[in-house]
Amino acid sequence: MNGRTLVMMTLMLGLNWGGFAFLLWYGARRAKR
Amino acid sequence: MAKLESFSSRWGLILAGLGMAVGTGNMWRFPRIAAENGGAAFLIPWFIFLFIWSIPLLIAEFSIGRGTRRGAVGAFATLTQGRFAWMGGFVAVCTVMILFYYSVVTGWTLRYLVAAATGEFHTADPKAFWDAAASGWQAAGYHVVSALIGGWIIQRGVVKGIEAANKVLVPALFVLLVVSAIRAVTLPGAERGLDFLFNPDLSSLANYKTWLEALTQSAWSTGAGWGLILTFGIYLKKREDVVLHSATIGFGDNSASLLAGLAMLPVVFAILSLEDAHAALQAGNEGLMFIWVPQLFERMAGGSFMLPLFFLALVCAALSSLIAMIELASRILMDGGMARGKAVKLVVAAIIVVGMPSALDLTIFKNQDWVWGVGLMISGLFISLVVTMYGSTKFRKEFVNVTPGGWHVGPWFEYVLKYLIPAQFVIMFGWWMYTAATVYDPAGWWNPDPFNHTLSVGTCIVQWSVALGLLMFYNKRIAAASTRTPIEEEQE
Repeated sequence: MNGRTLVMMTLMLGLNWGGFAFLLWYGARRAKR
Repeated sequence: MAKLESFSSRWGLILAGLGMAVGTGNMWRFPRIAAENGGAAFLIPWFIFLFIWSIPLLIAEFSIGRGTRRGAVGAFATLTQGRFAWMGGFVAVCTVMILFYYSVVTGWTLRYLVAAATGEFHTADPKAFWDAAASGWQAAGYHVVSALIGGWIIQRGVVKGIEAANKVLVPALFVLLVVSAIRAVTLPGAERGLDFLFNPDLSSLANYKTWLEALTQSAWSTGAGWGLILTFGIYLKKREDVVLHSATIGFGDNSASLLAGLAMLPVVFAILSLEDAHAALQAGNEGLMFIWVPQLFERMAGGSFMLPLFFLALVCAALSSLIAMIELASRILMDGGMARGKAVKLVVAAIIVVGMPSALDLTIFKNQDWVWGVGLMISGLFISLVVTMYGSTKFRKEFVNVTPGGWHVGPWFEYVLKYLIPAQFVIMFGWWMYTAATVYDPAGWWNPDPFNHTLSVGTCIVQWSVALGLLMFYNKRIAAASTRTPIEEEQE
């Protein structure tokens, strides 16, 4: 795997999965309040 | 007054929304289209369009459903004092026409799950197996089974039906995709597939086709503009944050697509030569999933264990989307005064009868997929138009920003709905029509014959015109019928 693939894979998975995980976490936290 | 059923929890609602959005398109269309359009370079516009098409439309739909407490037709009638009920009617017709043949698709996934679980692929010729399963009495039988399963779930209601089913289907789908992706990326040679998906060919960004494919993929995949989230919005409590939930569903759908890409492309590129891998990706959605995937898994270490899991994921994806469409159709009948049980029975009967030609003849299936798939872009436009007609500032204040302590949208939301979505529609719609006229059927692009000119412009124009003509002609009656029942109160 070349370096560019690794950078883009990290970026895309980070943005989409990270965003999804954050929204789930944020929603759960706010629901508890 | 009857109490309106509501989703019992935030999780129930999010899982239903994800189940609706994540469908077979995430698994068989996204990896193929991403790989063919510059890999990571495709992912950039695909991510951008999530914010300027999909999420704003999801927010609008949720808000319309919650604000009007009516299905697609009644909601449009309410927002426009009955004048443009036909627009909501078109949104409903598009999704219901898709529902008719999507039951056939769900049937295919069930057939393949059975075949994978019983080891039929050890001896079967993949092409011959697909030809037998795709159309004919086998497809018809599984189509009926799918419609009955979907109907059984929906007649149980929002909490015991939609919510309970999605609490199983959606987590199962994500877990199965994660397991499949782990197996795929640990295959020797998997990095070639990862390179194909993630190595950015930035020159593709200069190609307009990359952007149009990315917009189309986002529009179809997230379920924005289908009227489905509008229908789920009816069962949303006033305190639920539509902006947060829309974003969660949009990001969740993207995440599922990437997982499917990780589960699929490394397998294709690890097992096949580069030439064959390209042939597999160009075999179309069904060709890749139903002809190539069984062969690939047969040749993969642990493949006979992974194949049933993979098709089980596909069944979960298909069924959770199918039930959302059945709910949309049933809700419209319920707005007209019909009880849930009777409405669902009628919808299931219609699916079985009207979907049958698509099960028996693949040409009809492809024609319907083409006509109503592109029709969905018009649905998206209509949703943005109804907001504009109601008054986008008024809509934002009265329908969207009503949750105390919730995320509120600013004036940007109005600009997106008023200008950006119509502009994107014109470009995307124009491009698909242009492609049909110059690539799919240059000689007979005008010909409406669905059998010999399956993917023509003419067949779209004629079928949409029939639907729009009838809806406009009967607009007054449709508006009255769709708002006949009193609006039910929210359950506490």
